[in-house]
Amino acid sequence: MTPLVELRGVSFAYEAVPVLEDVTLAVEYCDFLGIIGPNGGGKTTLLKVMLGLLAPGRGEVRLFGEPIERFDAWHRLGYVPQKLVFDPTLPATVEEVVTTGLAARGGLFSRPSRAERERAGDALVLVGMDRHRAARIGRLSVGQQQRVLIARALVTDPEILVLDEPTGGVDPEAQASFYALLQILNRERGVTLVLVSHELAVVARAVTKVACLNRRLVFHGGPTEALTDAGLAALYGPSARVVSHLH
Amino acid sequence: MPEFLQYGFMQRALLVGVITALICPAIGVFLVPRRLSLVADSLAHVALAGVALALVLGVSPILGALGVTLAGAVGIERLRARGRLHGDAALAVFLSGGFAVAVVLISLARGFNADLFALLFGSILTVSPSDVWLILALGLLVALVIGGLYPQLLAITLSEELARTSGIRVSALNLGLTVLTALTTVVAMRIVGVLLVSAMIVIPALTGFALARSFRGALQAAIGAALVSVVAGLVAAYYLGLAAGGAIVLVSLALFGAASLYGRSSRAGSRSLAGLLAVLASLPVAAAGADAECPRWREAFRGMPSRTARIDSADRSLTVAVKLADTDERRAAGFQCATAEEIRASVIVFDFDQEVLTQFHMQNVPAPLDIAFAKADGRIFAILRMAPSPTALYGPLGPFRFAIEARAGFFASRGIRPGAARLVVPGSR
Repeated sequence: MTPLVELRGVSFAYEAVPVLEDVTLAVEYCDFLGIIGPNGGGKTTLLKVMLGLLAPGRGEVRLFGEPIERFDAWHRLGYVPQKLVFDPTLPATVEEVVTTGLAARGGLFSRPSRAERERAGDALVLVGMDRHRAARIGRLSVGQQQRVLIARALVTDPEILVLDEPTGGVDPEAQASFYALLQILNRERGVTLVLVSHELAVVARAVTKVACLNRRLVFHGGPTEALTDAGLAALYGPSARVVSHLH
Repeated sequence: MPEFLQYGFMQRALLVGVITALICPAIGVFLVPRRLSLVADSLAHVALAGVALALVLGVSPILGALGVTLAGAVGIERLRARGRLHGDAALAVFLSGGFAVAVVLISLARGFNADLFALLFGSILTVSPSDVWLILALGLLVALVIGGLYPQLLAITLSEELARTSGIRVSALNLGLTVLTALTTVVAMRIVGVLLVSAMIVIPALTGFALARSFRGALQAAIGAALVSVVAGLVAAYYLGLAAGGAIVLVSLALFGAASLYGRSSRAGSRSLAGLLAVLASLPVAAAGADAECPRWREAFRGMPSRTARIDSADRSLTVAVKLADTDERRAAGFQCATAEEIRASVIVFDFDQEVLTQFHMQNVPAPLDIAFAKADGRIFAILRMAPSPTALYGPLGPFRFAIEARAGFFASRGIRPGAARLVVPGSR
C-alpha cells in the first residue's frame, strides 16, 4: 500500500543555515507517528515541508502517492497548528472557526451544506466542545482552543491528522485527556496521526512509531527502542538518560 | 419626501453612498485583522493619480482611476507575494508615489477644471449621471464576489497557513481581495474623497469587531455602522455645506467611540444598550446645529423686490422673473439658509451699482448654484458652478456689476454662454 506521507532525501535550509538534512520517512496507514527531538532540531520545519508550506531545497515529498506540487486532495488531510494562529480578539465563534475547514470545498456562492454543518457539530462533539459552539474562540482556554482546532481539522473526515506541539501550554490533566482523544481517533476511527512534540515520555506512551529528529533523522522505529539510552544519546548527546519512566 | 431627495445630485450621492457603505466594511473586516489597512490607503492615493491622468488625457476620471488602481493593486500584490513587502515601507512607497504623480499631473495640467478639494475630501456633487451606472456595476460586482467568496475569505483571514492546508488557493484569493479593494476605492472616492476612503474601510470594521460576538455579526454591524455614517454624513453635508467625506468619517468615528464604550461596558457585565442609543440619538442633534444668523438672512431674502429681467443671446431673448439683491443686507443674504426648493424656483440678480471686485461664498447654501457675472453694460463674461462648502470662495477674473445666481445647470440648459449673452435689468441705471 502506498504510504500516506513519503519524504525522500529531503533537505531544507533557512538562508544558508541547514535545518533538515537528507530526511527519508514514510507514514503508513494507521500509524501514530511521534516526531521528537530537541528544540531547533527541525521538527516544525519538517511538518511544514510535509504539508507543502515550505518547499524543500532537495528531495521529494509525496502525499497519498502524489507529488506535493500536484496534490490537491486536501480534505484527506487535517493540520493542527502549534497554537491559535490568529488574533484572539477577533470575534470568531467556535462554529465559524470549525466550518472554515470546509471552505475550500465550495466554489463561488456555495455555502456549507446541512450535512457539512452537521459534520462540524459531530467534530465538536468528538472533541468535547459542542457546548461551546457559539463561544468566541479567543475567550476559551488554551486547551479548549486546541480542541477546537482539532475539530476544525477533523471536519473533512481526514485520513491523516498532522499535529504540531498540540499540548504546549496545556495543563497535565487536559494533556492526558487530549492524548486519550488522539488514541480514540487512531484506534477506533482509523485516523493516521503524525504528532510533533518535545515531550518525549508522554509521546512515547501514546504513539506506535517514533522518529527522532535532530537535523537528521537519527532514529525511526518503535517507541520502546527509541527510549533506550543509546537512542537518546544519538538524539540529545551522550549525557542524556531516560529519567521519566513509562507507567 | 425629504427635500434633499428631490435633487438628482443628492439621489446619486445617496445611491453611491449606500453602495460604498455596503462594500467598504465588507472589504475592511478582511483587511483589518491581517494588518492590511494601509493597502486601502495606498490604493486610494494611486487612484488619485489615475484621476489626474484621466483629466490630463480628457477621459472619464472613473475609468482613469479604475485602470491605474487595478495596475497598482497587481503591483502591490506582486511585491507582497515575493515577500519584498517589509513592514509598511513598500506600501508607503506606493502611497506617496501615487500622491506625487497626482500632484505633478495636476500642476502640469494647470487650468483644467478639477476641484482638488472635492477629490481629496469628497463631495455630494461629484457623482455625475454618466458615472452612476459604472459605479453601481462596480459596487455590485464587489458585493457579489465578496458574498460568494465569504467562507474562503474568512478562512484566510483567520490563518493563511491553515487555509492553505485546507486546499484554499491563498495567493489567488489574496490577489482577488486586493483587486476588490482597488474597485472599492474607485467606487468610494467620489463621495468620501481619496484621503478618507481608507477610513471607511477601517473604522466601520473596527466598530463591528467591537460590537459583535461572531465574525458574521461583525460584518453585519460594520455594514450597519457604515450605512448610518453615510446617510447621516451626506444629509449633514447637504444642509450644512460640509465636505461629504469629512462628515461621513466623523459620524463613523462617533459610532466607533460609542461601540467601544458599549463593548467595554458589556465586557464588564453591564450591557447598556440604552447608553449606546443615547450616544446615537445625540449625533443628529450635534449635526443639525445650523447658523444662528439664519433668521436675518431669511428676512432679507423675503424682502428682495421681484423684477422681470431679460437675458439676450445671439439667437433668442429669455425673460426671467428674478429677485433683486440691491442692498448690502440683501447681497449678503443671497440664498443663505434658503431651502433647496426655493433655490430651484428662484433666480437672484445681485446689483452692486457699479463694477466691483468681490467674491461669493457658499456657506449655508444647501444646493449647488451657477453664477453668471456681467459688466456694467450687462455683458455676461463668466459663468461658474458653485458647490455648497463652508470655505470655498468664487469670483470671476475681472470686475463686474451684476451677478446672477440660479440653480446649477440653469444657464447651460438655456444656451446661455459667457461672452455671448447680455443681461438687461429694467429700472437699473
